[in-house]
Amino acid sequence: MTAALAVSRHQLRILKSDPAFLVIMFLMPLAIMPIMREALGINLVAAGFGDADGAEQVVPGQMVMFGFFVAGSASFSLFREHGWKTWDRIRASSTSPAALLAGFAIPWIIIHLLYQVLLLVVGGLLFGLEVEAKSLPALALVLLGFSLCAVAIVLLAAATLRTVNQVQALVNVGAMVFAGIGGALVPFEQLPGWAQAVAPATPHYWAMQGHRKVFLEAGGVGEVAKAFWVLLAIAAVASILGVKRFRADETKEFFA
Amino acid sequence: MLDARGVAKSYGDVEALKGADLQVAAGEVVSLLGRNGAGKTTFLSAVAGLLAPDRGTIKVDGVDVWAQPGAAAALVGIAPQETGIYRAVTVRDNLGFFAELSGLRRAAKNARVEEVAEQLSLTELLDRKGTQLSGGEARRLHTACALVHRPKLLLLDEPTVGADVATRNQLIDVVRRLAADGAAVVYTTHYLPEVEALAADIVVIHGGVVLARGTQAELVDRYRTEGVDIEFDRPIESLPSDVDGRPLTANRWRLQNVSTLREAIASLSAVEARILQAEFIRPDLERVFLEITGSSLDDADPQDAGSEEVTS
Repeated sequence: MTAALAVSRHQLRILKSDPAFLVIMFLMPLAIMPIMREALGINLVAAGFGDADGAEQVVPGQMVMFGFFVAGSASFSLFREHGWKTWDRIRASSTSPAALLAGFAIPWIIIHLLYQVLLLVVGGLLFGLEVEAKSLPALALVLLGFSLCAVAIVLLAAATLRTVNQVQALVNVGAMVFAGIGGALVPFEQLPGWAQAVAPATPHYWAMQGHRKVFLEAGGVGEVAKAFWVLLAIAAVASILGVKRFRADETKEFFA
Repeated sequence: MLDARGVAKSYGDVEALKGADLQVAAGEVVSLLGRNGAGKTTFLSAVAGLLAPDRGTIKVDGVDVWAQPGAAAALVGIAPQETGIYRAVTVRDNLGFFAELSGLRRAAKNARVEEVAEQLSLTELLDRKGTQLSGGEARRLHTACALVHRPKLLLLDEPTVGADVATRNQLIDVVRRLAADGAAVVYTTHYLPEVEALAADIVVIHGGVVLARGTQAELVDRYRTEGVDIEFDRPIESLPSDVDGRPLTANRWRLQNVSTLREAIASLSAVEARILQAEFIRPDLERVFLEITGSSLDDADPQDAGSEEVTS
């Protein structure tokens, strides 16, 4: 655990030296939100949520979509060590593969969580997204579940794939496809039938289901429990597979 | 401190190590001398626990590297061949990270970072980012990162590659001081001047096998081949009976027990063939390496090794 925390702290130091990516990932959804808000509001009203004005969909939806890109950086940071020729130096400290993966996962789980919270707060202030006090614990569970899930999936990809280009392609395509199918771009009711059928296979669907319970129905922990447990289960499976697949002595190629 | 026996490692069909043995005592510096591809890096990687050997045993201070990797890692420090530092953060953060990885915290970590920085003349650069370091400074930081946890066995894989003369001398000096403090050091290189400057035990590795070991003086004495190589313009069947020599090829002969080129050429006055070239074989480390391995340290033709030549 000591080594994992040392790796985590070091990753945060490196990120602090160049936070441009996070700043862009924060500003992008804020720029898109006002463009889509009104149209999504009409969709929500049509779907039976009479009081909705679109912020209930666009703020969490954009947060979920761009959040997956942010989680993708966990894989980038792991591959970067190979590019910097520092990977073997870390390995020489005899840190276990699981501790290594944890060291790369922990900072990104924290960053992803903070990213979501900050985007909800700023998005909420700018676009009038409101949340009932009783729904706050439920919201916390949904945010935590999605952070764990996104980072675990991305690290599974990093453990499995050989080059950073492969991982980046998978993360980029995954972020867009999962967001589209999972109901992060438009309300679930607006999705075509085939997309509605496969949506539950994506973590984005479960995150959005949780956010709908919180923002559209003022639901509590009980209402989001299913979404949380599914997200947690996906995170657990991805983590187990990731640790099982991860080989610290495997050569990874970093092109950047 | 290091006891490696029969270490073998293959990459597919390529046998990088074919049963290498090496023992290094505390306070001893060993120069692992070999051409590119001789197995030096593979050997160091196996000792550092980075690359599992196919067979053989490696113990550091009695600890089996592959049976007790955690305990062994605390004893070994490695500076790989390619510079591996974090350029996005400061020198202090680089050293601090490896100190933290070894379990040092706060005051102990900070003290050790200052100590190692001083050893490698990095004190003034502690708050400078890696991106602002020169090549030599980066190389010193690269080496310093391997020292933070006070390893008893230090593995330096061609530590002066790309370094300027000042950095090279500084690193050699650091190695000497570490050995004086009791660390065992294995230092790979194919630069002979460095080997001579280190005045260390030389281990010649070639084709994945350790072929010879000794001080420079011992090796030169053991494998000395003083003489003159003569190249004729046609094949020669024999030399005059009073000339001590043996054929290397049909046209090329080695004369022994001659001390100058003039003496060698004069002794061949009765030979009808023309002398195209005469080469004095110096008893130096490069020649010793050639004698032991059959090839030169650089990648050129072994016959092109440094020598005094005259051409007719």
